[in-house]
Amino acid sequence: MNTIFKRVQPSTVQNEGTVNMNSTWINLRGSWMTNIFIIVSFRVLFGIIPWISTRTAWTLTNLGYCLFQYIMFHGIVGTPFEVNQGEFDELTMWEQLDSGTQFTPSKKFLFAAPIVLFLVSTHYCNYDIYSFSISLVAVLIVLIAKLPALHRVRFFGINVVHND
Amino acid sequence: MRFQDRLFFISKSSLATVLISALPVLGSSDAGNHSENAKTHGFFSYGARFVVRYVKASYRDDPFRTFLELCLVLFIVWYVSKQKYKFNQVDLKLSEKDIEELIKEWKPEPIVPLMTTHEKEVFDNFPVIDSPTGTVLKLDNGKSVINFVSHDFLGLMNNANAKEKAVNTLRKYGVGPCGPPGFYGTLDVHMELEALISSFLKADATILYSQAMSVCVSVIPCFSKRGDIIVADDQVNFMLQQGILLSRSRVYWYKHNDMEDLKKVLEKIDQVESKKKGPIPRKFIVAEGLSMSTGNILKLDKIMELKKQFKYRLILDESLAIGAIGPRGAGTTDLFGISVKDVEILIGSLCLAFGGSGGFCCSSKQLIGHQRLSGAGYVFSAAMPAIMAITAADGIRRLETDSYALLNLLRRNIATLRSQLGRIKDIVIEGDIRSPQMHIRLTESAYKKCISSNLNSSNEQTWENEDHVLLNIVSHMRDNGILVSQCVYVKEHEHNIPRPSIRVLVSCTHTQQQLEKLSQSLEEAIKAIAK
Repeated sequence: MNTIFKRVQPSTVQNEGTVNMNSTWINLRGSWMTNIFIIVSFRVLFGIIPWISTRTAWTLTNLGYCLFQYIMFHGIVGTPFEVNQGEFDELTMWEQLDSGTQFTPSKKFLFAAPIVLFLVSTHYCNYDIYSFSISLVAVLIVLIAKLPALHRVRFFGINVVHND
Repeated sequence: MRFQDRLFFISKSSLATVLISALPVLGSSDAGNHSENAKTHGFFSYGARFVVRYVKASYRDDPFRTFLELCLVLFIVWYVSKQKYKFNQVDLKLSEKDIEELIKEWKPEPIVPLMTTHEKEVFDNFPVIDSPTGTVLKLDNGKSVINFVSHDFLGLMNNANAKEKAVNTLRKYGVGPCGPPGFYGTLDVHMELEALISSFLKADATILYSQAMSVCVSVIPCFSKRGDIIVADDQVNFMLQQGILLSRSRVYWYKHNDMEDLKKVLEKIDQVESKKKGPIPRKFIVAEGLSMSTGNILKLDKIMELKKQFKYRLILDESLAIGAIGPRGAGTTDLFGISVKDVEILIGSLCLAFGGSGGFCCSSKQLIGHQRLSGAGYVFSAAMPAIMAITAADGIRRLETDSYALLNLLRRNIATLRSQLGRIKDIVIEGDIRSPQMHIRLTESAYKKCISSNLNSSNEQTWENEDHVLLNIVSHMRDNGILVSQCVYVKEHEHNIPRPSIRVLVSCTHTQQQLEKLSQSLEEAIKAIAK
């Protein structure tokens, strides 16, 4: 049993007809706007707390969005629905998106969003070295998890459902 | 270089801003015409100024950080510019030449694969029956033979009363129900039969399937899904094997009827599973009450203990056992005095002992309700014809009222045949002494004798050679008026193929003379073959 690196086996039956209700909403009209809305609301939320400086507010916004993306797309495995005899039970949300097709418009948007937010937030932080490096690590984790080369790949037993 | 580039870019854009900022001044002379133009330019100028300000502010004599940010921007550019693709997608572009070559190379496989010599031998030796079923059959060559190949253990099939009822039912309902059960297919007789089976087995609820083959194949995938665990006996019948395969669950096999081995397997699974995170999978033990391929009776009391200890659900196939063993003839649960309600899922058949067709599944109301919506064999195939349901119901009623006489007769016949066959030195009888199904094999020494006298080419004791010897014995017995059959398997689809054997099925309709004739003819046949 290799605990450091593992690949989730793709299902033997390719069923093109199945609709995975868990991930289809990403392609709905409002989902991009929702992402932007979440970023803005994070910024506003941290901005109105009096003892938090602008610098910290921007860093927290960036971290908050990265955490949101991590939990939504890389942290939760499986679907609450019964789809094709559990075809997606071992996959994260990101891997379920568009049935595993890479470089689709939604994926491109979700990939670019944390980078742009990082560039903007570090700019408003006046490139403070601490907040910059913390934000960078958070962004890199979220980005690496999205790379096509790491599709169905598991590190250090994270998100591993079955171990045989 | 990059630095200079950047400076150049800055100077260029600042020039642009100067020009743009001058525009409103120019536009003031004829404001009415150019107001829209001015607005768009204003927007661009604002954008350009913003970029300039951003770049100016962000550089700050820190080339490494700027480089890092540039990399991130390039990362976006790379990701966005990629074409979308799917894993495992092959885009082959063949030229006309390639296509022609491929067509030339292609040799079609025969529609029906060629039979091996062994398969051909088996095929040529199939008896053709030219009469209705019964204890004595007529073959197509005019000979009459005594039937030892029917699962009609209690003689319920050839019953004048049932026949009359069947004819009346045919007049009333016609032949087919013309639809699946959930779609106009359910008749009153089906519901009555379900209630009758429930009351006979003392189960909570029952669901009818129109084919016995489709029960296992539907029930197992209905409950056990991908990622779930199935622990199964390694000699379960073919239908159970297919059901397990279709469920896509993780399968662990234990040695046939070996409860020690089952315990070891369960402990091992427990060890592995306890380390895992995530949702707990459903766990099932799959076993057969009376084994079709060996004739052994399941140690149900032991398995119930293990099931409770390790928290498994039991899928019990009682197809052969119901109507054959137990004080009421209700199968293994009856034999061990265990309530059917304690077995989570119980599978039975109506086409073996009860002389009808189809099968059923008994379990709790909730599990039956689930099957009515997602048991493939129930949802997608046409309901059982009314005649079959009536015949099966009649069989069950007769067993309920007459169980003492019928089962005693069956037990007596089993005991008689066992004691008679026990006198023959060259054979081994596999299976429980209470089982009406016996698997007869030759002893090792008899096999060797038979193989060396029958097959000149090879003296090896392979599966095919053993089967060849048994085939000769079977056809010799058929010539002497006894119809038995060697077991036929689809070899490449069996998980663990049993050794070849002759299957003898005893019915309560057999007379003492007929049983005697079987053992005599078997002895003669072995002698003749071993010469």
